[in-house]
Amino acid sequence: MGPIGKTLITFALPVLGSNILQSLNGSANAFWVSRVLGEAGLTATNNANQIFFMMLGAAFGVTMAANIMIGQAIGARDEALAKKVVGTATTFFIAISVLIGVAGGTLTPHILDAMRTPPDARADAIAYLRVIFAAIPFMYFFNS
Amino acid sequence: MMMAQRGTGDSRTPFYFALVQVGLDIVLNPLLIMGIGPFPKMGIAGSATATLVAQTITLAVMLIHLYRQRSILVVRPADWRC
Repeated sequence: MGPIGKTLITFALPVLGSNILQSLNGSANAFWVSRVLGEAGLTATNNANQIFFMMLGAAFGVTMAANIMIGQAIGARDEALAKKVVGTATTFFIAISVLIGVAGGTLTPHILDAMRTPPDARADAIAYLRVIFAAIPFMYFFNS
Repeated sequence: MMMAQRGTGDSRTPFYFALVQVGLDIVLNPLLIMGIGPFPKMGIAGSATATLVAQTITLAVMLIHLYRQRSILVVRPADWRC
């Protein structure tokens, strides 16, 4: 096991690094979108990403619960239990991500209206989100 | 699978996969927005497609890696009997 402090830091540093990479990714994408597509494009991706994160955020809470159960099973060296959690969680999340994709696809124009997305960014936001929601099962599987 | 790997106590492997995914996304963004070289010019949808392609490719590589490592996180045919 070893000292808690050292173990915690060596575990946390790569997590921190991954988060920095994600921020960098967001900035680089914003750079290209604003440079090529201008203000309306950037407004569109920002509004679209808020909807995307709202949809994913709700499901990520359950992911976290499943990951805690996997962690506990591995800590207790109960491989059969860990396998059971993995199997149940995988099936559940594939089903739920398809549902989120369909719900997002149909509700997007209404959510954008409720958010008062500027009209000149609205069409771009819908075009962007159509791809994102089609991709949600893969993106959710990857990130969970 | 990124968070699940951390759940098993490994935060280093997902970091390397994040490097691959972010690298792909950053490179593909301008290529698909502007349609450089063999890539189609997709505008705003290109930015979303870059994210989709980067994450799906990295997911595929990650699943291959996890199967090879005999990771507990992937379901195998033998696991269905229980």
